[in-house]
Amino acid sequence: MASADAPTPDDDRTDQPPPLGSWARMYLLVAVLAIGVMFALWLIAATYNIRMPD
Amino acid sequence: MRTVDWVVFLLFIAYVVWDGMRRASTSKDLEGYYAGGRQIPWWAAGLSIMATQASAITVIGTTGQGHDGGVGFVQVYFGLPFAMILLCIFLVPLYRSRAILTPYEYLEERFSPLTRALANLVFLASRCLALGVVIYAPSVALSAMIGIETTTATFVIGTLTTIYTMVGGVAAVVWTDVKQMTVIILGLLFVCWLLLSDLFTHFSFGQILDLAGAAGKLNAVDVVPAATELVPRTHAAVEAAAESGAATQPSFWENKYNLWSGVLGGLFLHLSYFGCDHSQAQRLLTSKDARSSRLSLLLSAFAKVPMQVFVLFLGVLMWLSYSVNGQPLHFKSVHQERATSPEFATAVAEVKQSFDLAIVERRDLMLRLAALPDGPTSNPELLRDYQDAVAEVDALRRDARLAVILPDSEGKKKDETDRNDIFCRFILDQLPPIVLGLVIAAIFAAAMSSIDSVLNALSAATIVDHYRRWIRPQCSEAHALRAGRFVTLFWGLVATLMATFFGKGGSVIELINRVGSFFYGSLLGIFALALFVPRAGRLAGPAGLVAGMAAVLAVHFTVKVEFLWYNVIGCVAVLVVGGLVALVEPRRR
Repeated sequence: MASADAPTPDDDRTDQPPPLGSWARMYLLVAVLAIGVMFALWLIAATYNIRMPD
Repeated sequence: MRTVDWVVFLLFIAYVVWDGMRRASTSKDLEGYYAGGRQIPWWAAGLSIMATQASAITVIGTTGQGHDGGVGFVQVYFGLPFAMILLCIFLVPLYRSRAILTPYEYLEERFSPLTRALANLVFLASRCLALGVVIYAPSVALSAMIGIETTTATFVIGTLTTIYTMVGGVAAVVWTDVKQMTVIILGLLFVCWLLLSDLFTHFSFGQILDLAGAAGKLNAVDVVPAATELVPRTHAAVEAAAESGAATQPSFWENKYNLWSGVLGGLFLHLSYFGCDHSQAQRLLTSKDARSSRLSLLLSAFAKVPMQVFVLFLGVLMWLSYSVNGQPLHFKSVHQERATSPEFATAVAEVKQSFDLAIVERRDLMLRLAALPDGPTSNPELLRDYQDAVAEVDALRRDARLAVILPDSEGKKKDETDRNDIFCRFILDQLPPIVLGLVIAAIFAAAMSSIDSVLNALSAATIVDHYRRWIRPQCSEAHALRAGRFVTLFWGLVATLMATFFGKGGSVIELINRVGSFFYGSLLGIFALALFVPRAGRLAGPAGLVAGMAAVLAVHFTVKVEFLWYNVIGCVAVLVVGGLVALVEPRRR
């Protein structure tokens, strides 16, 4: 149940377009960057890290 | 701390409290108090989301984590960017197309008042109990740094945060978070500059990576975990094996930090934390529209993993700096004091002798390893000696901690980790005047920025979901606002008192906190059930929620599984049980 004196829903108040023209592109950019950062970290670990003996 | 540091520290804290209190003008009604009048810019809401997550213990504990264990902890955050995308797609439109002030209001509309009340109680209980730790843990570190009693530090942090949150509402939370996050970032950047400028007098950046990597500290991505056995061990089997002296191998599910637990377990954890925990989900309701809410989430998606790598890498740099410049035997102030007392002096002196030799040997091997033109692997013997020396220093540090601890009633000594004190010790010893005051203020600020959000969220959940729903449905806005302020004060007092009185029983409060984290998966599961199982109705919601929590508790008490997986288990259990109940209950109209 919504609050008694709450304002009108605001999902449709948006008048500015999404960055990059669409949200799908924005999400793709975030996902690609995240995977890129993980790949860079993997590359650093694979190049430099040497597991300590147990 | 020097006088000038005290001045900087006190000025910053006074500014934060004043800045929070002046936001009272935007809190004229419940929407202003709990949603900032839906006028908060997306970037401020995004920074506030990050500041709430970056508690003081994150700043000092994460650098300590990097110092001791390397950067592997970052994997916990690998699921975060994908969680943010899913929240933008599924939950933001859901929240922003309704005039709601807490996410649990939606559960009543979708399922029943009982489901809303249950989910809300889960949130209130887990967050209130966890808040005690959020106040107490940094109080311990800060009291040691600025030389005041822990109880005083707890009281000061709790009281100041409660005052400005009570007066200013969520607008105070967000705008003070922005300042606090800025100071945290500036403080950490300065520490980074200080460490690098020192290390560059000894090594190149490539050598820094070689030396840290050779000590196993660049374990950023663990694709093939050390344990790959997929059948989890039961507690009974582990105990039986321990009694018979036979060793059993840990299973995959016990491995804390690896790519799989980070991406999958982390995805569920962050979906729940940012989407269903009102202390974070609240920020999605404060900006002016769905676009702004999405952007505030995507800011964290962009910045969180790099920031976490940065903070952990600071810890690694700190370890290198201590390795090359020498380090104290104890990092914890209380350990240092005990080490000089006659009761412990003899035992400590024995460890100190071996420790002094070990750190000289580690430094010598480090310099020799750095001088190898083809990297550490070109001389396997030297590399092994270096790794042995690193492990030896770590073992002696543990011995030194145990040397200043009295045995318990069973004659056993429990190690008191000093991970949270490494950063504090470093800045106290190394930072110049003014900067030290500012960095300590940053840590203080990080503590306050995590507490204020939870206080406002607890107040909102109490007033909107209980008081105004069940107790005084017809009360005026002015009355509800007064009640909201009073409830904020109430939760502030409860949290401060809990931190003050139960904080010393560290294991008790840690247990409470861990139990609190059991509920996250179920909370996420109930929202997933609402979204993806259209048949689920009045009965399926509460049945699924209870089953999810029961499943996590059952797993906890029977098999050994790391916490991140609890989120997956809870969520899946809610969906399975809720889905099955939905099949037999009357269809929703």
